[in-house]
Amino acid sequence: MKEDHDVVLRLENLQVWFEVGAHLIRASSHVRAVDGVTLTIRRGETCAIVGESGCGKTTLGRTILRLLEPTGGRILYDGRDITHLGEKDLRWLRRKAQMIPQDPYSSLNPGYTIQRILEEPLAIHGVGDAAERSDLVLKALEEVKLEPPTQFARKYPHMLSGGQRQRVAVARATILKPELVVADEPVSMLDASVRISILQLLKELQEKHGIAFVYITHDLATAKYFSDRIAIMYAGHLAETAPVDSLMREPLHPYTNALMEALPDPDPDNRFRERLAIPGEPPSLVSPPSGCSFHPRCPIARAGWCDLETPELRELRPSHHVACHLAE
Amino acid sequence: MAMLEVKDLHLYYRTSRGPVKAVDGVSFNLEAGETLALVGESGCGKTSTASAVIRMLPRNVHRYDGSVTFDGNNIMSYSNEKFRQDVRWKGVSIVFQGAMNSLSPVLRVGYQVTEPLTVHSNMSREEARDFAREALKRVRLPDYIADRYPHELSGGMKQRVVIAMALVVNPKIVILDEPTSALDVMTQANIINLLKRLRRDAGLSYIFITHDLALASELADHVAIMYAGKIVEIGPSEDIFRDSKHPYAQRLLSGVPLLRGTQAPQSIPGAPPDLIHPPPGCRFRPRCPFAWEKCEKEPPLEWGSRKAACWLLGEGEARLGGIAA
Repeated sequence: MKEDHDVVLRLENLQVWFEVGAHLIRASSHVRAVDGVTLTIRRGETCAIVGESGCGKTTLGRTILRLLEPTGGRILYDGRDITHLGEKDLRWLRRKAQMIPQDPYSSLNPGYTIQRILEEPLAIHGVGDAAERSDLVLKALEEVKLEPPTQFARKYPHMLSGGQRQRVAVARATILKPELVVADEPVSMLDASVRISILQLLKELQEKHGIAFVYITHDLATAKYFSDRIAIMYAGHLAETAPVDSLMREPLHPYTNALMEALPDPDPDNRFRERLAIPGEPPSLVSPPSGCSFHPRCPIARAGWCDLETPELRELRPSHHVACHLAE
Repeated sequence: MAMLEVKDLHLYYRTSRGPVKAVDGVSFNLEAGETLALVGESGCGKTSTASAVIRMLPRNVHRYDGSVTFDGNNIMSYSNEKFRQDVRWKGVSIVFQGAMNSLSPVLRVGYQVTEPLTVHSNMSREEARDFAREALKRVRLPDYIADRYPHELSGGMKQRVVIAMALVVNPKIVILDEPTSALDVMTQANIINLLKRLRRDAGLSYIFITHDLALASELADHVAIMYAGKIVEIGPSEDIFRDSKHPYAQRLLSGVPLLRGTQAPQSIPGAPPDLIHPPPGCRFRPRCPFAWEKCEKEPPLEWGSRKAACWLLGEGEARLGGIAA
């Protein structure tokens, strides 16, 4: 394969299955949380992974960081195969790839000061001496606009608002100057008005330090403004991947279309009409439907085709891939 | 006369640092069959306003007064027992935020839906059962759901169950406190469609509490924007969404990421004030780009046909033009 120095991470046919229900008399079955995902993340770009809960997007995010070991496929970080590396061989990755978790209320140790929370990654990776580390902590706080930093460094998480806590989580994830940050629903627990300021902060840090973000979200509207590319995920598969503009102009997968239809913009006329919403729920990942996993809810599915054959991702527009038999 | 008239409602909470002015002089009307959206950031007092209307108060109440007229009756003068029997649930019911996660895990769903009937209508369990099935049908859940336990249902189904609980006694007003915030986009759209149909079929009035303006526009005939315990702007949806007057309302709107627009969302710098020591005068003043001396005095809400608590609506329009230019 040709070397591409722009690529920071490549997933090839990634598969993460969990064994469930192993029983004395019953054979085990598998939850196919991620089932054949191929995706490339470039340096300094933001790729959003958008899908409903239970579609496997969080599992995908955790596997990218090798917090989980895949059951199939390959993960290449900087061209290096990290699919099955052990924790000892992953120490270098822990420094280069970080995570911003969803819940700012449970992800910060309540018994630690902000100073200690931010110093921990520096200490673990042996960065500088105590004085230098203190200095880096203050700089990081300044960067996430928790000012004056000396004051915030002394506080405990419970003294901060949700938005401020999430800024601490951002500082913790970026203090080691990582190349890749997986942000798993980083703003979904926050107020609408605070969300935008946190996303703007991430964008700022990205421009400054060239960080690549994987932005995991269920919110297509924020993904539109804060990412370069969007991957739509459904039932463990990627349904569509495209540059933001192309996806917004012309969603090719019926599921992407349905997601867009379901999401309102503020408009007083909305109250006079019902939203087009597809019925049903996402399928079970233990026994996913045959063929295209979306076919039982799909408004345009064709019997004898969509329920039998699994669609592959096809590039139908420049860099715009879709896994649907009927898209053209 | 309006179905519900709220005038100068106050609800303060007692804390060790002093009283928290969660609801500080809130007034609004709700007509029969109409929906009012209460919109604001967390901590602005929207849920407290609902608790004050339905008189479900915590123990640390410091001040609770104002006038609430429901169907022509001054319900603030009711004793707690009379309020419980005549108003709460029968007149005004509520779908609490996160209620779907408060369903009892050990009781069948159908049994839980009968609970409001046995408590508020003194009905026997047997009589109540038919009403419960009817209520489940109204929220478009199949019959057999009544015999299921909550863990057997999806999030969207559980949310339908708590909506059924709010409807089972045929209230006139339903308070919806963030009824879809924990749900996926698609489920959310389905629930909102259901709420629209229920309103149309039963002539319900809703008080819809949310921090999401896009969602508010799905149901609201009128919108009240709350900030720091007060309503800063209130009016018909068309006025608020197309031509809001209060700088806070305007900023809240420009912070919404639009799926169908191109304008990038803007954040509002600063944070809401402490409700123990709110700033005197206009409470948005410390964050407002247009603030001037006059804002140290509290602005009136009413200016002719528009209701926005901002001095810019008086002499200020000219001033605003000056700043824009």
